[in-house]
Amino acid sequence: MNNNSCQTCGTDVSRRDFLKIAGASTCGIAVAALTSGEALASSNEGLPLEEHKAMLYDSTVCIGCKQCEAACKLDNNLAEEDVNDLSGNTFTIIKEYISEDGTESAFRKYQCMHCVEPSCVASCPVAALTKLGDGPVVYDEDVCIGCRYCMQACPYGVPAYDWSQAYPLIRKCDLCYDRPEGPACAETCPKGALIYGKRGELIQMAKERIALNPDKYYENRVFGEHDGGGTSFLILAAVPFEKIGLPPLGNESLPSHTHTATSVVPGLFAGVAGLMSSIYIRTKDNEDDDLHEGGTT
Amino acid sequence: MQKKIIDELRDMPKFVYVLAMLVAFGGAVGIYRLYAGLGATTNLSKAYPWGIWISFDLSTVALSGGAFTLAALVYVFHMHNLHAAVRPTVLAGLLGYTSVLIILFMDLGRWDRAYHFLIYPNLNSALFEVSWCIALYSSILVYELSPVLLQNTKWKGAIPVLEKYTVPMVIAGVSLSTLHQSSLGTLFIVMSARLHPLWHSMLLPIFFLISSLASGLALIIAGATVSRWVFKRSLPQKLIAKLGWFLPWILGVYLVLKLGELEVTDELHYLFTSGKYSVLFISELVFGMIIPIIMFSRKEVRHSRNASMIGAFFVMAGVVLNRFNASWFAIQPLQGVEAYKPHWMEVAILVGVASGVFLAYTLIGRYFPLFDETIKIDEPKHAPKLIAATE
Repeated sequence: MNNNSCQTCGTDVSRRDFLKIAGASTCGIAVAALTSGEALASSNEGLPLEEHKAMLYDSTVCIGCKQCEAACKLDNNLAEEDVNDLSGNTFTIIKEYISEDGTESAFRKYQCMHCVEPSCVASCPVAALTKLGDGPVVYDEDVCIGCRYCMQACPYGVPAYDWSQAYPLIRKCDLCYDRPEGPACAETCPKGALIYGKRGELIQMAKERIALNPDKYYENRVFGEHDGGGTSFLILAAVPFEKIGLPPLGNESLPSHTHTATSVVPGLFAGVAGLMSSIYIRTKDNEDDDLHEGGTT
Repeated sequence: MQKKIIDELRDMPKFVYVLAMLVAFGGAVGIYRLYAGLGATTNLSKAYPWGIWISFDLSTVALSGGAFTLAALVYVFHMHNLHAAVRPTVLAGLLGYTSVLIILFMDLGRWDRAYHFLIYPNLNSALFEVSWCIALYSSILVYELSPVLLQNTKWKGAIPVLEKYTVPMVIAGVSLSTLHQSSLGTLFIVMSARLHPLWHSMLLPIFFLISSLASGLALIIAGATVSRWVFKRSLPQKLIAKLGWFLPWILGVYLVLKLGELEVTDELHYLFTSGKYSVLFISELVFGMIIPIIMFSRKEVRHSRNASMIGAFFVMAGVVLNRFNASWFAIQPLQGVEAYKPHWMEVAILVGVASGVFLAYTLIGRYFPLFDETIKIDEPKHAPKLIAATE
């Protein structure tokens, strides 16, 4: 046994050592706080991105039969209602876009996009929304406080609120994450417009379709490969994406913008506190002068 | 005893009764809201999940910024000749934050789980940070105000002990305020799809922080004048002038940053081409920044009670308009969705809570030593003893 070290920590701590230890641990806490944001983000990653559960929706194949809507309602036990948007009882909806002159039309399936870096997950103050390691963005209804920041943050307008309830919850598609066969909607689609699979393979499949018909698809790209940092719900369309309600987001995820601001928080706190303390000490001597000064300019 | 209470009630100014009635009505509607849910009592919707309550919260937090700004000037920068303003301003700040907490509670769909933000942290969330900062800072304001509440009670022996730690508490309060004032701006960074580009900016946290300094100082200035009307007590005009002196500098930085950001991001053309949004934005610039900058640059204005008050109201109106714009007016509508207009119950609850703030301020001002260091306003204007005039 090494008695020496024991002695050092047990009895022989000088004032200077103590200050060193205190200083080091303060720095340690600051560093831990600074890096915790990163750690939290990475602990969720789980499977590599190409292995994530995903769906490919080919708008040019969809005939708008809405069997996917019905399957979703059935599987999730949702009440019938007459709405034209996602809602507390509608996790997916097919809408048809028709251009003003009537020459162009397309279907679009609205549902949660299951972003690679979801805004809702980053925004939720109580972490009721999480991104599972294999892709789906899911919601813990026992934790949610109903602040509705996720609804504000989602660029696709997906999270819906069950306004009719006295104690409402957020409602949205969870990619049927606990259903062994995969999402009910994809299973039902009679045309193969909606395909469930691994994200990497689906992107590959989409690109093959584009290669086969180079002029058919808008911008010859699949929406969600990179848009807004990427999604697990991938979309092919013949019309411009904006026309079917897909916002131009660029390739960076929305939370990455906010993260710049939130990640400086611990440093800012320490910085302001340190600055204030040093100003306090430096201006202490002026105290008496200031009392008699009184002027304004 | 009974007679004493009745006499006391008779002696109250009439507006106290009006405020009390508004509080009672708002309180009743508030209880109904908690029982019936948000759908039945608000016009919030999927397209507008946040409404007038959030705009109120943002505005009130900005105005309450006076408390941390003044505490920093007095206790950290050692400008002790501003000390007389501390108590009234800290009370205004505390009541402001209390009203925000009440309205936030109303706004939570699951108010029964309000404490969840304490036990289910998401460190990445700006809203998580804001909630913590507001909760902690409200406690610090209670601490800062405690001498006022304890002074005439049997617990006054605790005051010297409490005051020993005032400076560290003030520094913690300033740090927390810096964080949440700016983080309230961070909340809207993620909303780039809906918030009009004239307001949406990566600098939103900085804009929110700077404007809270300006509106906080303006609140102290305007409050000094209002308290002359209500309590016949105010701050020496010299102090008001001193506070006013800061405003052109703060607002100047704010104005330059706002326009500079638009220029850098190539969004300056929206300034005149966005219809209603242009009007709202230019109103902020002209009434909230340019006019007060010109006013408070002039010595005559700073040394005139009424002119200072008018200038201060411009500043506050500009910042309040900014918060309403960022959270409501400049949120662009979705196709086929009717724009949000608050339900009367939302307004009634808001009016009730705001009336509660004024009622509490009036009553605390009446029964507690809030204005000990201020001057009686009909006194001749000899150089006032600034520190602890009553001791």
